[in-house]
Amino acid sequence: MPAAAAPDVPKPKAIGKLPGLETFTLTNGLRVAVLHSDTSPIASVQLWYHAGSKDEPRNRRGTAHMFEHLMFQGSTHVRPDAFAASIGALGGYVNASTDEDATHYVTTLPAEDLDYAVQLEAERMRNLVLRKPAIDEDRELVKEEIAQQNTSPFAQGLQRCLAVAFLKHPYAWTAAGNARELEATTPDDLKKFYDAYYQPNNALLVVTGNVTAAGVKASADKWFGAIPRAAEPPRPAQAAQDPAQTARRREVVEPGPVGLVLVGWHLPAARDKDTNALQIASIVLGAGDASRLKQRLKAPDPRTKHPIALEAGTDAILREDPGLVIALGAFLDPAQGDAIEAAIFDEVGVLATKGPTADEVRKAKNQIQSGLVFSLENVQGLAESIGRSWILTGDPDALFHDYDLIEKLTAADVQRVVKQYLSPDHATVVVIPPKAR
Amino acid sequence: MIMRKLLVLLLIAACGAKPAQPQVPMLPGDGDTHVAKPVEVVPPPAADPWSARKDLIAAPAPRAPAPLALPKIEEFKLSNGLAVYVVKNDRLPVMALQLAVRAGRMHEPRARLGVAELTADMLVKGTKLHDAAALARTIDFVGGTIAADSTFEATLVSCSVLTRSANTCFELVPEIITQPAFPEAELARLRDNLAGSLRQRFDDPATLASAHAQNLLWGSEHVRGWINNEQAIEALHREDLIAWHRAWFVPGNAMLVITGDVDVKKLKPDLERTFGVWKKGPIPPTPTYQEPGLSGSRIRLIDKPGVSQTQIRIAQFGIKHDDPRFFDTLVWNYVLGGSGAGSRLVKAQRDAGGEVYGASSSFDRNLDRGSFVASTVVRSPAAVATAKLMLGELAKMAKDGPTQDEVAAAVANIAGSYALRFQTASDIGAALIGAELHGFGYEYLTNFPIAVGGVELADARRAAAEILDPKAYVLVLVGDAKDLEPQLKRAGWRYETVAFSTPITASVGPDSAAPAPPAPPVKPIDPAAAAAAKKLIGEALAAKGGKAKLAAIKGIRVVSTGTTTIQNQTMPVEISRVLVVPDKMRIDAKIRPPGAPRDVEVTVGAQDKTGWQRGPDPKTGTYAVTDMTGESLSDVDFERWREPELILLKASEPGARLEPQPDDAIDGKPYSVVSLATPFGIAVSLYIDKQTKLIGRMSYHDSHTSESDDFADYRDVHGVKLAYKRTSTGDGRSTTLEVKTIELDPKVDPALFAKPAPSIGPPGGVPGGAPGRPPPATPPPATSPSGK
Repeated sequence: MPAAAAPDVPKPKAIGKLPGLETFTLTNGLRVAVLHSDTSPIASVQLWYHAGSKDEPRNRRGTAHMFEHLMFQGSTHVRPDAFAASIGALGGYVNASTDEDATHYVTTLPAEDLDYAVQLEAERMRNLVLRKPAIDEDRELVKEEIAQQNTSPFAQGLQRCLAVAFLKHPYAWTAAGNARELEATTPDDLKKFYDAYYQPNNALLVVTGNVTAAGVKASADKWFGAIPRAAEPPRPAQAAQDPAQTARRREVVEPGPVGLVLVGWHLPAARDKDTNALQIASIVLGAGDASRLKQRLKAPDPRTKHPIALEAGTDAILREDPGLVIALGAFLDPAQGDAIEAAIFDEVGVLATKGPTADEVRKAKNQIQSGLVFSLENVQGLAESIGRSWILTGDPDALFHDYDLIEKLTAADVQRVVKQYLSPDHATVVVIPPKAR
Repeated sequence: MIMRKLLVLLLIAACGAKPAQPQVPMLPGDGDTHVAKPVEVVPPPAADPWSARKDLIAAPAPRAPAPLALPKIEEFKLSNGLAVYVVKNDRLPVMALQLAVRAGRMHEPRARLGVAELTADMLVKGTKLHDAAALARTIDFVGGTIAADSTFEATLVSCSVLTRSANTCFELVPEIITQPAFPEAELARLRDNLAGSLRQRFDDPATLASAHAQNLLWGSEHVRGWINNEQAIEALHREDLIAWHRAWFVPGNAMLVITGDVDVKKLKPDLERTFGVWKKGPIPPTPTYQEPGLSGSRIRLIDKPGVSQTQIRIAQFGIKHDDPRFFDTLVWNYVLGGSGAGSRLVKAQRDAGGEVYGASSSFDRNLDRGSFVASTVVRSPAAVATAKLMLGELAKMAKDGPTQDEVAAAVANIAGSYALRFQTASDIGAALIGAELHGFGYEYLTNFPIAVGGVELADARRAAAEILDPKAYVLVLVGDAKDLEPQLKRAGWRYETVAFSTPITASVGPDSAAPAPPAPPVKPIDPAAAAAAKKLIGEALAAKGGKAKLAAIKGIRVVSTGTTTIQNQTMPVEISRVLVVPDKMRIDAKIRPPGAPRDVEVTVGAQDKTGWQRGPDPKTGTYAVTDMTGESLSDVDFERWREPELILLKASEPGARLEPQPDDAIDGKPYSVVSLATPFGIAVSLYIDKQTKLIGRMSYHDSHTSESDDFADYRDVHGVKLAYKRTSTGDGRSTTLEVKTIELDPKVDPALFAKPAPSIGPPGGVPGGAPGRPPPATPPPATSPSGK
């Protein structure tokens, strides 16, 4: 399980008039979180398994992703495809998604059919039928998704950067998987992963919408109650934490269709409070046309009259374990790579020495807060925010603190974290030169 | 003209596609539903080892539909007549503002197709107070979104923010609605983007099939039959947008919906202050069209050589949204083709043993009748058999209707899924606008599930029998004619064939519903003036080398290099231009956009009445050859006609219409000016150096643009004076070229002018095929150099 919330965290201030989150744990360890919303007579029922690509065996990358598809391929008491079809018949819809830390399953449907959705989730938690034709079909699907991902130069660049930045940790690869290793993955491998991670004490049931905590508790007890607690699943990543980086790493890799300079810095784990200030720093540096890197790299150079980069930006990848913030610039003229790399370090250096302006901080706060609030408007987004909050911080409620915590941050806080985490000595640089014509 | 368009295409390819725009919530069932309907992919049926089990989990029985409880609504009117609806929901500190103006595709005159869409797109691209970048910065600062889009029936503007930033929406939306500036530079960029995306869309067989189905059903005298195209977009000017905006954007023709965490009491004075500046005005009458009849069936085959699948559309007239049979129709259509893999159209194909890529059917949900369209895509050898199968399903539905079980399943899904559409403040606003535009009111939304639940088997059967007519339909097939024609002939079906590249809606003729302003009458030229002009041309011809020498020229090849500057970006360019008298032309242009690793190349070829172009596809970057039609082809024609080295021959022809113009000066040197009428409705001005009698400039103005080409550094080539320095300017760009070589009567392989096979790679031979697509970047400059 992710670490529990620190005991000294104050009760979160509600955002707007959202009711508080109600949480409880079944005796088998299944955690349940319920948030009531009566805007619409619907509910989103989500099962979050704490099983992502970082939990995969190192030579079976893509295993977690396979389940995102296999979980719809039939269980002892549900025909293949009947899960999605029967929810559709009621007017609802289903979805699933895998990332580095978790895999989650979404059923959004009329609230009065809550019990049925909970029953189906409990059924496939332990009764999945792993048939070869279904495995073969889904393997092809996953391979197709991997191929799709690999068509993007950005995705390829990101993968290289992760592989260089993480020497030991499984964040060195992404959740999509590896086609060759999927070919080698046997039904037994899959069964082993399923039995280890698809267990009540490794999952969170989140229900949002026009439901009551009592109603959800009754359904959860009824359908999940009989499933026994399992052994705590293995956490291979815990033994694979990267040592603190002490010197800059720089790799120039084989040319790609577009030149890319990626500069990554290790972040603290998502539960660390400094991540809020780092998110502001990331926005100030590289989100939106007025951000510093975009202004610097995409405005015409006074000497040549041309912009240095085709595209520029930053992204803070927050994860359960320490993640990475990445600044990047894309270019086509091979001569521009060095200038982009220098400009990225220069802008980060200026932010570290002078800090952001009050306007920049205000704008970044507005963007983070409105992004958060807009995501809570629909029941599915609300449940996803709660599930993700649990996976990332161990506390399903943490997201409701963020709104206030972010508001309290100052320019000095942002400057401090930039100095502390975005030091030039701790950077990982990956340069992908553009292919020569 | 031609090179401008080509180089735009090339720059799009070099700089990446248009960045994604924020989407405005669409009205439910907007009238363009059929234009690009995705067809669902249906997986093959899986084996069923569960058939023997008796303990499968049973799904709950569907419940009786209940009214949807929505927050209460407050309605009022501002003093300028703007209707306001407020739906308060303070669960989260957000606010959404949505404004609908009844100005959509259905209001467009035929001569201005696309004006609603382009005007909507331009609203956020600059006002009299703020340019596009300033507007974007303002909304970005508060972390909100603002967007504008148009649909068949309306233009929609939406703005969403945290409640504490509500003023940002209250200030920006009235500003973009009442004071749009439609700046030319932004317009040129958007027009090119839109034209490019239309070109892309109509290269896609699915879009093409849907568009042809509408056109074949509604004909050329009804707005639903007019299909927008690249040429129509390129013919739109700033004045058209201004006129459209002035006519339709009046408060009495609009409604404003505000949803979310708002204080209704405080809102009224705020809105009077901000939206009150919007001046009242008369509301133009909505154009009405006579509905075409349809007796019997019509089949159109759209030939797209080289494709292995065929897109099939069967279309009939639909029903109005306020038709009492509307809900009955929702139910039977769900059974027929509205329920994905479970629908009859899919099952029928699956039962017939074919590979099923998906099938669907749908209705427009509009004020007018709209269309009913059934769609599928199949492997071409099965096309006609599949069309028959679909027609059989339509006939069966018309005759017997759905079964009781099918009606129950349809009601459960339609009523059950309805509430899922009402979650955010914007969802409620968009649905309310949809209802109000059709005169239904809020209770329509609340009672929707009840109305669906009220559909009985007999109702659905009656509606299907009345609405579906198995004997009067249009059928459109888009595929390779060589696969399809034998099947159609075997079936004994009469059909028309259309090339995929033929514009579906032809350029506007004089008999169109809303003709473009008539051309000014031709003035007679004073004979004395004509004679003076003829004398000037005669002198210029003599200085050039004499009529006989010029007339003997059978061809010219000019290779030049230089630079072109577009919006302050200068880039190298290399152009080779070959002309073989009278009608063969080829232009090869190479350009190196800033930061690009390699040249981008565009080629145009023309002979007789055909033309083609080859260049990178703006979306994928792969090189593609396309036929030139319509306006592009006439651009090529014009380009051939006004070949600068030979234009004096045209000017000395007996019928040439010449007129002297006032003298002018270029760089202080005096020039005589003669205007020469061309067969293209444009006059070309020839500037003749008073001293040397050589042409120093050729210029023209048309409704698109004005172009001016200067010529200098004349040298003698086999007794003919040819210009070695050429500068073209116009539309904020300029190209300077130095001629490297000129050959008269060059040896030219006739294959040079023929359309190349589509499979040939780019001339540069890029390893690995297509150049990689760069990440989204600023849209490319909108104008490009001319290729003289």
